[in-house]
Order: sequence, then C-alpha cells, then structure tokens
Amino acid sequence: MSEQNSCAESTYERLFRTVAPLLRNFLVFKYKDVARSEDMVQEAFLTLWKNCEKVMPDMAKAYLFRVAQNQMLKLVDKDKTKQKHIPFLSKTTNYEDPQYEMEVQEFDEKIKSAIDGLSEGQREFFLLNRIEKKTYGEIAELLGVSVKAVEKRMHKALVKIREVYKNI
Amino acid sequence: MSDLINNSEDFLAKWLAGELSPSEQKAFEESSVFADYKAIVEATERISIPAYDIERELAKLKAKRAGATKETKVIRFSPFMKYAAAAVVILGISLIYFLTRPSYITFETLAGETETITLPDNSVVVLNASSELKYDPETFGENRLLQLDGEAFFEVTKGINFEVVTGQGNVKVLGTSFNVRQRAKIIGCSMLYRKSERF
Repeated sequence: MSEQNSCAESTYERLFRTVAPLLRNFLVFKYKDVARSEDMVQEAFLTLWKNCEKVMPDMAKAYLFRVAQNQMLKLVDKDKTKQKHIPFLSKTTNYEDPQYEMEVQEFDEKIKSAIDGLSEGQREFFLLNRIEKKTYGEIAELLGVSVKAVEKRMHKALVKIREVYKNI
Repeated sequence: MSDLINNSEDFLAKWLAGELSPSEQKAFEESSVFADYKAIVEATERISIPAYDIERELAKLKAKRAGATKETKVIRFSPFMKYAAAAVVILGISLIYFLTRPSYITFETLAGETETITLPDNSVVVLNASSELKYDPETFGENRLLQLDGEAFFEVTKGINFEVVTGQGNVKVLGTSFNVRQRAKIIGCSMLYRKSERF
C-alpha cells in the first residue's frame, strides 16, 4: 500500500534526502544565490511539513519545487538590481602540461561567465541537464513544461554560450 | 551547417542527447562550429557548484520544525478568576444602568390620604387618595413632565410645556390650574380656568 501523506518521519526524511539536493542546485542554477537557495529549501520543507496531510509523497517533489520557486520569486522581485554570480567550482584536472592546464582553465572561466550571462530559463535547463545529468524528459516533468520547450532552450543556451565566448 | 543550427530550434539539444540521425551527426562533426560546441560541452563537464551538506541542512530543518511546532500558549483562568470576571461584567452593566436610568422622585398616597407637593418650578400639586405621581428632577427644568397614576389637582406656574402622562392619555398645558383624574381606565380633566389640551 502506498503512503497517503508525507507526515511520517521516515517518509519526510527520505523526501528531504532525495529532493533537497536537487531543489537546492536547481535554485542556485536559476537564481545564482547559494545562501538564499538553501534558505528557500528549508522554507519549502517547513511548508511541506505543515501541509503534510494534504501532500502525497509522489506529489511532494513537484509541490516542493513550486513552493520554493514562488517564495524565491517574491524575494527576487524585491532586489532585482543585485548582481550575483554562480559560485562555480572547477573540478581538479591532472594534466601533465601546465601550459595546457592553464589554457583549459582560462577557457572554462569564459564558459562559466557565458553560462552566468544566460537568461534564467536557459540557464536552469542547461545546468539541470549538464550538471545534474537530468534528461529532457525528467526536466520537463520536474518543471511542468513540454520536452520540446526544454529542447528549444537547450539549443538556444548552447548557441548563446558560443556567441558570448567567441566575442570575448 | 551553421544555417542548420541557426534555423533549427532544437538541433543542438538533439545532438547533446545523442538523438541526431547518423547523417546529421556526420555533417555536424565535419562542420566548422563543431569544435566550439564540443569544447563548450567538455568544459561543462569540468564545472560543478559548491556541495550541499544534506545532514547539516536536515538537522537545521529539524531544529526549525521543533521551533515551529510550539503550540500557542493558552492562559487558563482559575475557577475563581472565572467567577470574578463574570461578577465584574455584571457589576459593570448594573452600574451603567443605575447611572443612566432616570432617577424619579415618587410621591404616593394611600386610600383616604392626600398630599400637597411643591414642584421645582413652584407649581403645586395636590395628590388625591390612592394615587402616585413621579417626575425626574434632572430633566424637569427643560421639560416639565410628570407621570400620574390616580387623581391630582395641578396649579401650574406659567412657563414651558407642562405635561401629565397617564396610562390613558396625556394632558399638556402652559400655565393653569386643572385636575386630572385617571381611575380604572377613564381619564377626566377638569379646568379651574384657562385652556388646556388633552391628547
């Protein structure tokens, strides 16, 4: 028998462990603010807990994404002028040739700032696919859009990144 | 080739997902822009964002949740306080009633007894047997209003309206002497002189 609500501690914790990291990264991709994104994840889960009787575990993921995005939008509206950058980390690479390694890092920096300059919608889809390794179908389901819409934005994001880095 | 990319809405998305047909794939790989896109995708493989500390965040959430569950404090009255509160309310209401209700001066005569009363405006009332007369001294100066139950003779000083209210009807005069008799649902008004009105 499947659970009817998300109130049980075991269900709730399982939801946190599975949904929170993805939700947090998604919010970071979209809004470029780690501290605020993590606060929003907390808020979203508090809201889930208050309404746990009404939310079935199967629905909880979509519910949490919606709650967090709504709250984030309210905050973003307040300080739209603030310029943020995604705090990207480059993974350590072990190239033999230091010259080549430096070139790679330089190139990576350019790509990062190009990604940073994408529109919210392009960036969230692009990074969910590239960093979170979500398929287009998964992204579409998660954010309630069509697969076609995801593909269009992926395509546009890549074109845009190349344009930006070629012009730098 | 770059036309294909510019005109298409999802060519690069299909390429990323490995959904291009072999001929499309081959054409793309031979195009001048392929190296750029390949390099971009490879670069994205090397970047990540700061890690998320699930355990720390879960502990934080649980602490917040505990704070949020605190029930609203309910202050219960002791039984004594309940009765005290009720008594205060009753006392308050009675006090308002006593302070605002008209405070009548009442004269009453028994059978075979008469009483002569001088009103604040020096009008004189002779209250006949088994009668009752009352008026409110606070408003009498502005409005000479008396309530009569029984029979009385009035000798009214000239002035503003002088009105006698009975169960059967009212008598209103300005200044005169008259008798009002109201016994068992009959009202009679006899004048000594001058005019009076009966409503």
